[in-house]
Amino acid sequence: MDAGRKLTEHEADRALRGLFMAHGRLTCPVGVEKRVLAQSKSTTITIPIVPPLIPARAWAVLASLLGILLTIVMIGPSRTSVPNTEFLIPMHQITGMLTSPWPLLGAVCMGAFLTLHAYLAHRRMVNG
Amino acid sequence: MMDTNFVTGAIHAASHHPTVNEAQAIAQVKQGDLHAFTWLMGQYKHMVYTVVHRVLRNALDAEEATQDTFVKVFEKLSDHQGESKFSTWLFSIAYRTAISHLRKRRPATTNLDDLGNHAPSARDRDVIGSTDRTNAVTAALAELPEVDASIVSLYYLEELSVEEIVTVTGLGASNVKVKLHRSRKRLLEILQNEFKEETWTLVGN
Repeated sequence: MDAGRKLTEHEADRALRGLFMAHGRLTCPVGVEKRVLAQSKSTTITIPIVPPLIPARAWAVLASLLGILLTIVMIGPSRTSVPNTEFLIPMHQITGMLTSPWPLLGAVCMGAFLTLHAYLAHRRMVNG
Repeated sequence: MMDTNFVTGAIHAASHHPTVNEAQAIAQVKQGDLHAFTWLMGQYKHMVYTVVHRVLRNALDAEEATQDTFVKVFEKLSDHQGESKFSTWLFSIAYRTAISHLRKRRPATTNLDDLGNHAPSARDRDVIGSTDRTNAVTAALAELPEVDASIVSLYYLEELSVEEIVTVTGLGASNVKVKLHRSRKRLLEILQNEFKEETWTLVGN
């Protein structure tokens, strides 16, 4: 190659990048980590407390509602002892709903929602 | 009082630390994990040292600035929201720390434009003439103003884009481009003179 020829910008970039990659890095003296750790150990870092996306109270209310619903279905009103309960608690409707595909669909949706919740919480923790 | 056993233990543990993922390490450091922090320092200490040395041009000052940089990183990591790459954020702290050290060392200097017009010292020039290529690169960079030398290092060595250099330095994009263009031209003049035919070999590779 003609040494007298002027380098193009691309060639100059390539030459400098090659040179810097091979010989541009300096070595950090030994012991820096030790001193940084000694200083950092005495530093109080503030860990941000991020509230969960779904508050614990909401989970408690949801669990209570489900619990009440299940109790009603499992115990059920006695037709002989309380004949008028049918008017208060529509048992046949609740049983019909629970045996339909809707509860399964609901469970799938809840599963998907919880997975999304866990993913977002993890991402937020990683990204700060 | 420094707990030397703990510090030595943390460094030893970091060398065997299972963390291989930077994002995981950052998350662990945010929880106060010093082993993960030692692992992160191991990954970036030479890069940070190189960047601050290009500005300060003095091993002792560069070491101190590197140390200050990592202490700041540990304290402020929870502020890093992930809107920029961790390395860009880290270089930004390193660069600003180095500039701050330079201003302390040179109290009369009040703005970055003045830093740009700094002529290389006699000590800087002593490195020139060495046959060692690393020293020759360092000496060539010492011919450039401090800010330009660090920009060139970020661009060619750390392979940052112009946009990332803008984030790191806080300078305008056009200013960064002008400085890169000017520095490239100047470096080629110096290095072609220093390496003669060897520069062409590099181009040919």
